[in-house]
Amino acid sequence: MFLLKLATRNLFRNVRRSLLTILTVVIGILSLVAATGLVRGVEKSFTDANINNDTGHLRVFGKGYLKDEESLPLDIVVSQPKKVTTLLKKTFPKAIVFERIIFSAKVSDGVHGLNVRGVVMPGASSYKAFHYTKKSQTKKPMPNKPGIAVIGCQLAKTFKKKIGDTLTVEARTQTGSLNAVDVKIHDVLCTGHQLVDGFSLFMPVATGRAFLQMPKDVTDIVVRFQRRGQSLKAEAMLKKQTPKNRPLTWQEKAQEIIQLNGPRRKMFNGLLALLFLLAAAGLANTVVMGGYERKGEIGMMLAMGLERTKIVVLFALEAAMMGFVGGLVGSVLGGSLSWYYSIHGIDISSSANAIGGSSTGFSYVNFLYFDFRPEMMLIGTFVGVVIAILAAVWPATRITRLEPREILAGR
Amino acid sequence: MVKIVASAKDVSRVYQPGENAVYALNGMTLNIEEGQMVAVAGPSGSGKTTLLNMYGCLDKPTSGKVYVDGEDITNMNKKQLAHIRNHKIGFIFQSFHLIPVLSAYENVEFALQIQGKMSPEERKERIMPILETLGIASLADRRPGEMSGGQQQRVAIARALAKKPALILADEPTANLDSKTSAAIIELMLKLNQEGATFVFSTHDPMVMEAAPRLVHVLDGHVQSEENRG
Repeated sequence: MFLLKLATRNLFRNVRRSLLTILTVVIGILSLVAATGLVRGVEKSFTDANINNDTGHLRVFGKGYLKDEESLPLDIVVSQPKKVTTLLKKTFPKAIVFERIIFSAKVSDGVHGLNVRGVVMPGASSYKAFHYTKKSQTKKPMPNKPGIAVIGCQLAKTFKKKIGDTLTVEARTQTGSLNAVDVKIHDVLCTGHQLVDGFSLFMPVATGRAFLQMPKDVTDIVVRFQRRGQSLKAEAMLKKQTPKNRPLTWQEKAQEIIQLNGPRRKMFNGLLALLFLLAAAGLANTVVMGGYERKGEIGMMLAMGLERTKIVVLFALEAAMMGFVGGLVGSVLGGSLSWYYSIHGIDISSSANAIGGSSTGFSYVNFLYFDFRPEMMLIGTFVGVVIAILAAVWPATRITRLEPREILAGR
Repeated sequence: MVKIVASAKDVSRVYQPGENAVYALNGMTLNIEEGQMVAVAGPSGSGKTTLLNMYGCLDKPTSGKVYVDGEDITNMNKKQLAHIRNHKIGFIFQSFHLIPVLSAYENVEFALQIQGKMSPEERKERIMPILETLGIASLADRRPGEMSGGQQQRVAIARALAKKPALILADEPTANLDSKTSAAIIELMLKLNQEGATFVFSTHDPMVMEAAPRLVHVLDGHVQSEENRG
């Protein structure tokens, strides 16, 4: 207890130095908490954007589809789609389940052409699953009428088209022959998901099946559950009951996003390590300076019989208190930042477009939301204390290695 | 029967063994009896401080034996030596070495807290009479920076006394004080000695040498002469 009192008072010996040391910890912990919120936020934003606009909580593909996903093949289809749909609807009555055909298409206005992703889907259930009604210009689900299509707002902007205008869609049918159709733009979607907004064309089932000559087959089935955790139960069920299919949960997709986010994580981790190193160096320096300034006192304490370990504890306590204050302030500031941006988000639409549209990781979303977790503030404070103690122990041990007679003799 | 509280028997302390060996102590033999007040005098490099370091368990002899309160400390490890210093020896330093962030009372209390046996009430019962004896009870709440050199040295003496040690070692206790304050400190130490405290101090100060009941002159690491006036 007397060491704690002494350590507390020692912090006020050189207030400016203590404050500067605390500041380095504040910067380190603020960066830790905010960067963790950002990195997790990026992953969560991507995951949520996908769930809410394109993938739902579970997708079911034919086996082998995912290996060839980039070419959007039409020949790898869901096995027994009606059975899968019935099974899902029966087991999860409140889930929204619908079939899709995703295909590679080229859209042109007669002058310019652009490769896009075509999606054939039922308007009513898909609009309900992805809340497209709120995100569309007509505010109504896509009807199942022939000769119409819905496009993303960025795509409409690219072609300078509006509702009622016509576009030509070219694609290969399931049998591989080229086909083309003129479609009237029925609606324009603006979701904030750049794959949907910039590179997608949606066709109702009546138009799409005839165009692709696919009367029965589907390339994926999308499920949106009432609770996102139900996806794992559904996955297990489908693996057992329809083994020729490949269910893909949002959790598995999220792992892919985390992997894609790996380089960014590494960059942040490197930056954090550097900041922690600076904070630790600042703390170690404070301990060394304090130790040499108080050499006479330390010699006196050792001469009076205070154990060396207790002197190390004294310095560790001083550092821990600075680490605690710095960690707490850094956590509160970093947590506040994370909390603010978890609500308001950062608009990255312009920068995402500027740095290359969908070819960059950021381009899936227009707003980046931090992931605010209150426990990170506790962790941040704890990390501040631990780093402070680790930084203090080595220099404190060195100081106490000196012989008291040498210290007292002024050597 | 006279009790020996500190004893050096044929003690040598050699620094840099070899051709350039420096003998800080060279066959030093000196016993300190309980209740004595011994001044160790001699020129710089004569071995005064090294002798005090031996008695204070801050150094160990190259050869010979050192006993403190009947215990042979010659072969003790650092932890055992720290224990002896903690329980049997009080130190008074030339430059006081008070902790500036603690009050006078807390500085004295610190010595007892290191021992760790007493409750706060017991410590207060032990400390306050000592502060009163030394005439600094009214300064108990002041920090060292708010006290004069003489007052600080009194606090240092109180700190040494509080543990009720078998032996109090003082390395040039008046070196940083003016003559008037030095005289007051010597008088105080004599009074405490009469009350039973055993003091050994190194000094250059003629006033201290004159006042000490036993004066030991050391030269080249051994006792040259001694005067007993008690």
